[in-house]
Amino acid sequence: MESRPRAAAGDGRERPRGAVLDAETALRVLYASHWRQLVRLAALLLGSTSAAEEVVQDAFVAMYHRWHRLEDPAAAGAYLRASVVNGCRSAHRHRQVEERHRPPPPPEPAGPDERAEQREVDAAVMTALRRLPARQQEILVLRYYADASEGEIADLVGISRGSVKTHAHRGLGALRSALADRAGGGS
Amino acid sequence: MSPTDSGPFADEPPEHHPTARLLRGALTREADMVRPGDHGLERITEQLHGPAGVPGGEPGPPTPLAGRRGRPGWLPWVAGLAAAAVVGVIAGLAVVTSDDQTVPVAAPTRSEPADPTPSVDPSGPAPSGTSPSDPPPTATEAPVTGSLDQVPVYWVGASRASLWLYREFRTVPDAGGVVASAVRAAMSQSPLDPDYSTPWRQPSRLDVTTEGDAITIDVSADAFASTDVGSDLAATAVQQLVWTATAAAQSPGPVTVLVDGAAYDAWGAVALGEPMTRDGDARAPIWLDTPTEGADLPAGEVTFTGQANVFEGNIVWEVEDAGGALVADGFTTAAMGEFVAYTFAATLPAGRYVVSVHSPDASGGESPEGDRMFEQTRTFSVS
Repeated sequence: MESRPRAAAGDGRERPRGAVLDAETALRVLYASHWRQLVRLAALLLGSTSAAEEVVQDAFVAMYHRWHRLEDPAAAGAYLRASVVNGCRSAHRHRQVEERHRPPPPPEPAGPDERAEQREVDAAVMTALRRLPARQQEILVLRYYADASEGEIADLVGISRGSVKTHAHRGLGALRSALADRAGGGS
Repeated sequence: MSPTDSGPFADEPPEHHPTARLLRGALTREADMVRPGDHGLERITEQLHGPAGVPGGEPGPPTPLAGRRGRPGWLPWVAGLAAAAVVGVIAGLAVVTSDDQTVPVAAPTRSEPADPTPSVDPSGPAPSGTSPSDPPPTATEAPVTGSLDQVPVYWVGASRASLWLYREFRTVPDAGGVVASAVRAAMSQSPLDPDYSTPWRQPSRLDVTTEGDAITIDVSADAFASTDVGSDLAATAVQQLVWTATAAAQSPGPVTVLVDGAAYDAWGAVALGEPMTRDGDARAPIWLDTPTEGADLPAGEVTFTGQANVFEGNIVWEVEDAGGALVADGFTTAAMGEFVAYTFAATLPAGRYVVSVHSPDASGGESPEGDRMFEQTRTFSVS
């Protein structure tokens, strides 16, 4: 995420980086482009949309105050993402274990068999995920939803790359056994 | 979502792959079920500047229009490029290097003291987050006395970490001729599309004069009241005026901007006072001209039009309904190297929709901003 978007080959219309907006404009532009996806990410990290919206709002407020040092939409996007991950971690600390064990919404009954089956599997996966330690959940969501790289996750979460790997492996292994138990062996 | 088994960790044990794939799919579908509320900006602004309007910052109801707007740059969504037209039909592709096809209602006059009384400018500067309720220019209503239709007004939008100019055709208060009215709108109104913006503040005084092709804009210094305007935004904002004035005048320019009759250093970044022409690179690579934001169209075949100059000329378009479901998509191919008009059509029943157009990323999705380059979205309804 540190790399810059490269110029679109051929059209020659990319302009140099350093797009500088005032804080109000930046807020509106970044809100338009990031709000929904950040809420989705936070909702996956927290298991609650309303809590997610609060965390993302706080991230935008922090970004606004910091804008004079960011001055670049791409840097601000990275800053927002890091703030959201941090915010979710603090929110998590203040929440009780019951949240993690809250079952996901029941699968919709209607629909073709295939979809119903997929919803069941999804529900099982989400339930198993929610039972993992918070750190493992966080890393798995960042990796498999946000497609963050090992280095990016290490930066976002503030741990070493080796720890990221360890947590991811443990988390995935625990998921695998949980799903295998559910299916009565192998998935 | 790409069903790639391996994640960023190359040494992932193979036995984890099926679990990783299941997790990836479950997370994606779980995320799709999250419907972020639409009042975040209001509540953020409230947190920053105190309550502005309605007291109480309760989260609004989740709105179903949580479609493609704001697709994340850094999530590698896979554009449905392979799936061509599902319901929609590519109506055709005009190859016209058309520019501003404005219909000036009034010919530019030689001298236009453009300082309308407040009553002539009912929309004024809209508060943040709201759009003035100008009717879409395609509406066939009788023109209101004192306003001009189909006036090209340019705005600033961000894409790919750069700033670009986008155009809207607007019905604007008549400030003494089409050029003055267009320039005044660019400096004092808000864009219909919430993805656009402008750093200009409504000036207390604005005079626009034309002499042959040359246009002179003389404005009061309070138009520059926005703070923290960086050099790129400043340059784009100045070009916003150049493009707006020349489009309205249908002239090549030049445009000279004066502040209280003299040269001026705009936001400490752009020297004003000399004649300027259009910077061709300021124009966004993709414009979506119609429908306009918030337009209400008759049911049946809806035609979408725009102009683009993108790599390999590929434009992917998608129409989503109010529930975020894809109801029509496809792509068009335009010539490269120049801006050409593109058009596509879809047959749509009554409802609210979001149409999006973008250029697929030529780098194969490696860009951190994702593979939906220069995306434009527009919300409209059909009834």
